[in-house]
Amino acid sequence: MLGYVKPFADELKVSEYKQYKMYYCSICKAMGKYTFVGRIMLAYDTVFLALLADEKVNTTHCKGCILCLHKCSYQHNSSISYSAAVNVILAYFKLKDSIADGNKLASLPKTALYLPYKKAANAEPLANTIIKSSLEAIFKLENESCLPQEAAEKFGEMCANLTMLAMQQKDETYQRVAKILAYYIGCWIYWIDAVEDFEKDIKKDRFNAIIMQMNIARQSRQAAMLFAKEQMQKALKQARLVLELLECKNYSIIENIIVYSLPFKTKKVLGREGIEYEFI
Amino acid sequence: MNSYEILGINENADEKQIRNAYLLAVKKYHPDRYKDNPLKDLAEEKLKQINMAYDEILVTAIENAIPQYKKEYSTTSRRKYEERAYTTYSNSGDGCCDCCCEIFCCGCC
Repeated sequence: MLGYVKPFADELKVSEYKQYKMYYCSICKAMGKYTFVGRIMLAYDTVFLALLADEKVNTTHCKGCILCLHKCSYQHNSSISYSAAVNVILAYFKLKDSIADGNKLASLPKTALYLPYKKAANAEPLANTIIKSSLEAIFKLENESCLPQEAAEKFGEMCANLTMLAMQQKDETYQRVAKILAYYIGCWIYWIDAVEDFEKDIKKDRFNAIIMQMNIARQSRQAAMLFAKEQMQKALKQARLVLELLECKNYSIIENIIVYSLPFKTKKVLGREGIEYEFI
Repeated sequence: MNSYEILGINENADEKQIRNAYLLAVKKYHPDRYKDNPLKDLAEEKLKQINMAYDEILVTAIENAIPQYKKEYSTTSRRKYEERAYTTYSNSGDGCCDCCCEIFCCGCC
């Protein structure tokens, strides 16, 4: 469930693109504290987390990066370090989940990421607890054949709680707005991942929220997909409303992600299933 | 944040621009849009701020307009008075023009 929350580059200004890239490179550099190879597991979602944290930045320029092979700008602050640690923890749990789903190839990188994960978990113990307990709760809910909305809400709560930890220095109103925004984006991620992985999951007989919906509500594939569309539309609509109450310096990039990128991704994924999606 | 910043407009904005910005902001933060959203209270607060900002701009605009209006009113009324006085004076026959005298000469001048 990583990598869905990224900007829609076609609609970004050059300055915004540079700003986004700076955040991306900063988290990549900060991940170097835990692991070198693991930096390839950097996800766009944690960049969004750092963008939302909206902390003051002091930009520095490096002489050249080995991974992206060019001179990049980066910065250091607590939200960047936090996002890097969260990224390492999430990457480790993703590999663990892949192994549980029967992907034996994931066991090697998982072993390689074990020590970095421990380091990151020590650096951000609260984030580790939130991720671990939430993923366990989601796994339990899925095994108990719960309603897929409940699992999506639990995932949304996990995102909201992780966001709250990054906002320690912000005022109460900002924390509240960011938390609700992360919650709706979390719900959206759960559904989009279910729709995108539907084919693979049905072939390999793995858990999928759409299959769950088909079984519980005795719906056809098309009806379950339409249900997922409705859930995603609802989450995006609410996220857009929350966005209007957000006041931060990275607003334009966050707006680009919510107004263009997420609906575009929804349209693309649903389009493969033959379902039309209208931009709000 | 001043009232203009709350409405997202320039301080030199004209009446129409202010009204449009106000209507747009009201539409954006209207409680009906946020009825299923947990941040409904924040939207209501924002709407209150917008209403207050709009009221403040209107009051300031009226206050600025009053002296100008008074000035214009006094100028206009003085001019009207002068015109009326001149007409009355002209019609009274006192100091009438040459052509009148030539036709209806009463021996006054």
